[in-house]
Amino acid sequence: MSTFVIGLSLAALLFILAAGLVLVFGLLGVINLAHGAFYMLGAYVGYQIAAWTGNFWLALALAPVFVAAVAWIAERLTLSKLYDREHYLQFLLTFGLILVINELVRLVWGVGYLRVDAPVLLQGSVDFGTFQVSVYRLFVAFAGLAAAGGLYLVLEKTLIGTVVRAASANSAMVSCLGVNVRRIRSSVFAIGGGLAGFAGVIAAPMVPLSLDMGLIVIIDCFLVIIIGGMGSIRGAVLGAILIGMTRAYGQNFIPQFIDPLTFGVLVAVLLVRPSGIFGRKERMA
Amino acid sequence: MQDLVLKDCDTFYGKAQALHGVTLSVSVGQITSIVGRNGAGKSTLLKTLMGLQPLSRGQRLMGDNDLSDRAPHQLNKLGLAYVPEDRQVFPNLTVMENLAVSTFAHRTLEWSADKVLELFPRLGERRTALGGVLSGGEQQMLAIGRALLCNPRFLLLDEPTEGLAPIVVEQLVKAICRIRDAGVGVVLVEQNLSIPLSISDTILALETGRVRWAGPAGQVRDTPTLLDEFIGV
Amino acid sequence: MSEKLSFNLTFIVAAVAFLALVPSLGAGERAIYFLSLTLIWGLFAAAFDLSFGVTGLLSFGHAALLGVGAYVFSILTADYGVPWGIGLVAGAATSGLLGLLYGLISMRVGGLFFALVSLAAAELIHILISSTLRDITGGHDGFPAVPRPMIGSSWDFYDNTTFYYLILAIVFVSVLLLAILRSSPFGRLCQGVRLNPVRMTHIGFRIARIRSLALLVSGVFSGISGGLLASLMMFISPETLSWTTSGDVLIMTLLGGAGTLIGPILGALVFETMRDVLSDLTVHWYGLLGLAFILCTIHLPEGLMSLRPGRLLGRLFASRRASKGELETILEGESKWRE
Repeated sequence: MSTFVIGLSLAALLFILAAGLVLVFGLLGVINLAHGAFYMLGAYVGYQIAAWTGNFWLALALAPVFVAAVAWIAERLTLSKLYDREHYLQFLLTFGLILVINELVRLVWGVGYLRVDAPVLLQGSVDFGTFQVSVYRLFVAFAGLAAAGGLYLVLEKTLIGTVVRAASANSAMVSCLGVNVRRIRSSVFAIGGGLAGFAGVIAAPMVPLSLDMGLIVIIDCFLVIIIGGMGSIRGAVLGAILIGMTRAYGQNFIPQFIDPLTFGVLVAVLLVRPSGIFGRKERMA
Repeated sequence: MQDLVLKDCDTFYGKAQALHGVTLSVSVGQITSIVGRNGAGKSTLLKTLMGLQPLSRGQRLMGDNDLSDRAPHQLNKLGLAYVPEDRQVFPNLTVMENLAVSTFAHRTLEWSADKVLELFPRLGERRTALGGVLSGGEQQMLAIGRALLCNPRFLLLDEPTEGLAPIVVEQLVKAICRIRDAGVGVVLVEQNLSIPLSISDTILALETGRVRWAGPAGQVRDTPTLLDEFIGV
Repeated sequence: MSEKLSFNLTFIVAAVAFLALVPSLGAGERAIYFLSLTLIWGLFAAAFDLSFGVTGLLSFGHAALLGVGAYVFSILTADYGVPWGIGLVAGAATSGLLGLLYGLISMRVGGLFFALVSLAAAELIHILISSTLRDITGGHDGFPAVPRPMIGSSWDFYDNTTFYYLILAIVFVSVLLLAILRSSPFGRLCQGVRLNPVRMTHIGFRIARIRSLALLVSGVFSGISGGLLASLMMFISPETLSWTTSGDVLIMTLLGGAGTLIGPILGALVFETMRDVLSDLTVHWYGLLGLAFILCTIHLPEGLMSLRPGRLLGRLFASRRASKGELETILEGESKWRE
């Protein structure tokens, strides 16, 4: 049962990450390779804020905002210039962003491993009799749920969410209705970055902070999205649960084969449904 | 009253020139029709008016204001609304959500969702249907309604009756006249002459990107063969 | 983007002639080693471009093609005493097979998704080599004592200059083969698949097969570079299989000019030079490279090759709008040879 909760917490983390990627992909048509770098940045900035203030909650609140700002600046300065060019160029640009962000993090924090402690409130575990469950992992699972709920509410029930959904389907038409789509693109990219940063802070007490933490998680994130179907948040939920559980149970029973196993899940899904479980027509051929 | 004017405009698709020195003028409260064969440049003309096609030469004016370098979203806020040939309703949004998108950048003034539903009652019956499942006629009404919620001074319609059943066409034509009566300047692109003849105030004939004839619709009604060389098969 | 075989051949022969003379011009050990390394990366980049620039398949998993070739070669020659040449061929063949596997993947996912899946696959192989199969591969510590060739009694390939000539020869032949392949009917089929896969399918070509074949060849030559790399360094580590290697070769190719034969090789030279020069100046040179790469995608997406004098003049006089017509002209040009 504790494995189940671990799986849930992993799924939650992966979902928060994947949701950001899906949002950005849906509106901008770009797969942001630097998403993992934003995640890492969030973790490191969160660490720093927690180190300065001794307050994890403050870090949780502020780090994502910082990362969102960085993402916003990056989009305005670079990505927006490729607005009407081929998608693969935008894709490659985000790869360049990884290198720059990685180097900035290395510049500030160096190469060693850093650790962040969970706040006192969330430390320890809850005893359910036959099994124990880490409090923090429960918290992460709930955070994922909250993120999913929040995203749903904003996208489906607010005007701005409706406009974002419209622009994801047809941004030219949306601009013919008076909306400055470029500004919305920048904002969505920033929000995507913020979500990644949020995932980073949340993950910080669970994983060691290192320069390649982004890569480790981003591949799983990509798998989630490809399995769930690009452009679908619902798919991201399913994909996240699938991969999260695979990782958790795999770690328990066959730790040496986790990675082949997760990859195997991807291959299996692709064989059956190449566009993912909830996939729509591919946006990029 | 501010007229919408294109002065001596050229526009290109890559290396191919689509419009040559086109000049036209549209007034509010009037219907200006643009007719011509397939490929004459009618859709391009509307796109150029809307800023979706850049002007390589010439000017786009509203009254005394030079709007030649404005982007579509800016032109929309200045009073231009566009309904493309394929309607382009948002397939993943409901009818009401489609209409709501216009309210993001526009306050409710002349036109409100209620007024649009009054104009197109059918939309009210289908208010929770997704844009993608609507029929052609319903999509056309939705696209026009969406454009109206931008409180336009000028409404650009690209072949609104194409592919629709005669009954629906009748409803649309009536609606277009009501829109004109409400003070909007309508620019109507149509392939065949019948609708323009019956409701237009001004007609423009386009051939291979050039204006071949422009004048009051009355003139064409009096001399039906006037435009044959540009429209005929 | 027509591949003028005559242009490529002229360049290759001229370059090789020059490079063959370099040691006699008094170049030092370090310069020779640098050139050896650059030649190997140049070949790898040229192999990568066959997949990316020619066939339009962006792969983020080429590091595995390089690395698997390197490891197979190293294990066979060092642990099993297989002759050097045979080991190299075996490595190339294995990488070719892996390339074919990538080809199978490309049948299910296209475009940028293929890039992601290839990244995942390469990481999987990276993990397999660095931990799962560590008994055979030496794990994270790498695989040492990779041998140099023993060909003939009078040549000592443990002398870097002598080995340089062998590398030059092998790379020369490989690049020559690539040049011929690119200008051959198969090469043009690959271009067609890149420019308009839908149309190609309608005409009747099996684009899945063409892609797989392109990836196979790309794999083979990546494997050769891998073997050469391992033999040059007399050591191979799993680091070579990390995503940074895949990223490096992509940077080289784009910087130099994707879709040309010479561009990626040029890009390799620029990259290695920057690595050499900048890493002395700052430890953060990789970030600067990332910045350069970003600027490249925005301002110079066709790489340094687009600055060729003839093309540069053309660009100076062409307006922004006309560049869209260029694509149509290219498409037309490509269809001409078919009709």
